[in-house]
Amino acid sequence: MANRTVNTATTIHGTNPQNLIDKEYRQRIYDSLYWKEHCFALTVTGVMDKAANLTCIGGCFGDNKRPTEFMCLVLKLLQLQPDRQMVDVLIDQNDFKYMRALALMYFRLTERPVDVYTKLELLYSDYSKLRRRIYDGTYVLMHMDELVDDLLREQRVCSIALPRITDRRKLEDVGELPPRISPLDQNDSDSDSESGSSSGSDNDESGS
Amino acid sequence: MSRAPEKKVSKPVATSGVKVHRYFPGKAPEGHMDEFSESESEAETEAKTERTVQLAAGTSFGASTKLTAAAEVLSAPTRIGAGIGNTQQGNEGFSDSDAESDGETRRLMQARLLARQRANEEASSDSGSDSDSDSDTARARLRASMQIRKPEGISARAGATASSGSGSGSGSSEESGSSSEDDGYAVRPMLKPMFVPKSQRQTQQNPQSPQQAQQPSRAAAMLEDENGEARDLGAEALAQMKEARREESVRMAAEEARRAREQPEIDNDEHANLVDDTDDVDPEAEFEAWKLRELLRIKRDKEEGEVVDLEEQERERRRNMSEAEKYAEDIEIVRRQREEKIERARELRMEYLEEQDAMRLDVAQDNTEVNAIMSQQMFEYAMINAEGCRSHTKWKGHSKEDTSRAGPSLWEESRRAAQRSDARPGTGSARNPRSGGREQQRRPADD
Repeated sequence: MANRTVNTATTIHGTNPQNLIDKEYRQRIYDSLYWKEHCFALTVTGVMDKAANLTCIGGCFGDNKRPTEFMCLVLKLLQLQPDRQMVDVLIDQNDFKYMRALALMYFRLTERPVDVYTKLELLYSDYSKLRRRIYDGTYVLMHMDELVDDLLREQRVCSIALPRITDRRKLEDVGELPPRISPLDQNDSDSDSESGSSSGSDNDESGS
Repeated sequence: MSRAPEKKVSKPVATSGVKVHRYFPGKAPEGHMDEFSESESEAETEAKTERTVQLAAGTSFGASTKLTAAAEVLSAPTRIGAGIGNTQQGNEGFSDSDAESDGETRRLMQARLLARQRANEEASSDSGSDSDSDSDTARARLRASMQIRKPEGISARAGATASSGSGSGSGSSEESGSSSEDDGYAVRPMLKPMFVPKSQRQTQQNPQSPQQAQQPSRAAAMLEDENGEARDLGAEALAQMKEARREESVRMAAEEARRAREQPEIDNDEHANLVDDTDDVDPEAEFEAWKLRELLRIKRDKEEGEVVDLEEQERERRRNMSEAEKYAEDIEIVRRQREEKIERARELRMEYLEEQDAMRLDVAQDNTEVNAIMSQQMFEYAMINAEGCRSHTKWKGHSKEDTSRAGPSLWEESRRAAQRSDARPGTGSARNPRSGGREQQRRPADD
């Protein structure tokens, strides 16, 4: 009963949204103390409260493959399947960076490639620090833009295998996405006058 | 057997003499035999039940320890680490006597903290120094009962005053069990919950002396004071006591909650604290770092794009070529690859041989005569007889096993004779397989 997806949920990528996390890691989450104690009968508001108290991101660590609270909350969001507006709110808020990271992960897992690129690439300019718990339980510093980069390019982030999204180049070729304009290029084209315009427009192909 | 079996004297080890306190059902725990041996004084049992009641009350409204700790974490917007259970509830007396030094020191410190705070309160709130005036409060009862039980501890715990006299430090005494907080502060003693047999139990609901438990009448609410006087308490006095206790427990719970909120955030996760994730510590540096990352990303994307473009161009070019051109190109590629491979093998072989020569030269140039010769021979020996890589063996083949021509033979004449016969072809024998070889066969006249 406690581990069923919500009744109104739709399938994501053709499957129960919870299945986006591998069975092995999902079971570790179900068995974890944080899940049983804190994530039981949680609503999206409750998840927000917990996310405000997060101190790190990460997957499963240690010999026991103990899941981080972040990962538990990701699974909880997958269970609850909040609607798009709610997720946008979680991403756009500026107060809690771990909440934002959580919502980004959820977004990456559930949305279509075009939306993923459009939404996540905005956050390339967010350079706030995040604490990440790596496989042996120790902490490492990383930044939000690095997380976004990993989410868009890697196959596995925080012990979660990310669903395949189309290569950005292919989307550009088809025409669904414009080439990526980095904020640095934008700054250059705005501020510098001599080489700005040329470099700005020539560097439009910088997006992969 | 008339003789008793000899006792084996075992060798002393590091854990010799360590007494392990085990629990056996039905048997009173060690060290408390004195409490059960004689009939207990009323004060002791009373104090014990009160203690159990207080302990239960102290863990806030009877809920389980962990959940309430969690509830307090949630209510207070603090990020207290995993040790929340330890700091708050870990010292409520449910300790095992098996945990020796670590748990005790920790409990000691926490108890000291608690005691200091409580003692400060006590000192500020009630000025009375005698315990009898607070006879209604449970704490006074406890204190008094402790005085009875351990007269040597009285000096340490002078009544209600928060005097920090020299502690008896009887943390190691068996009797006190885990109540190692006899350290001079006015402490509410935390004792190990001991098993009270049903016949001797005295609960809040029906307060009666253990001796009267057998009597069916419960109307006689007889309570004996610590001083041994039998006081006849009416219903109101009983209610008063209950009320007082309730207030006490509520007060303690409120205090715990307040302390939890006001305590400095002891983030027990030291590893996490090593990695600081506060933003805007150095805004320029962070911005520069981000800029660097972004530039690297742009560069990476560009390079990947170029690779893809080149591939696309190549594909385009090939598509526009004819079959013959493609074939010619492929042949050329393969030929070049093979050449490169051979060349590489040649280079490696040359390197190896040069290395060998260099070593040989190095050995030969050794000035000491004897050493030179010996080293040379040893070198040659090593070259012949040593094994190098895994698949190499010393076996060089049958021809190398031939010892007939290995060196100067003892029978020189027979050798010379063999040489002469060797010059004639077809004179080879098993002894001289080399005879009649190509070099011997060629005679000067034949050229």
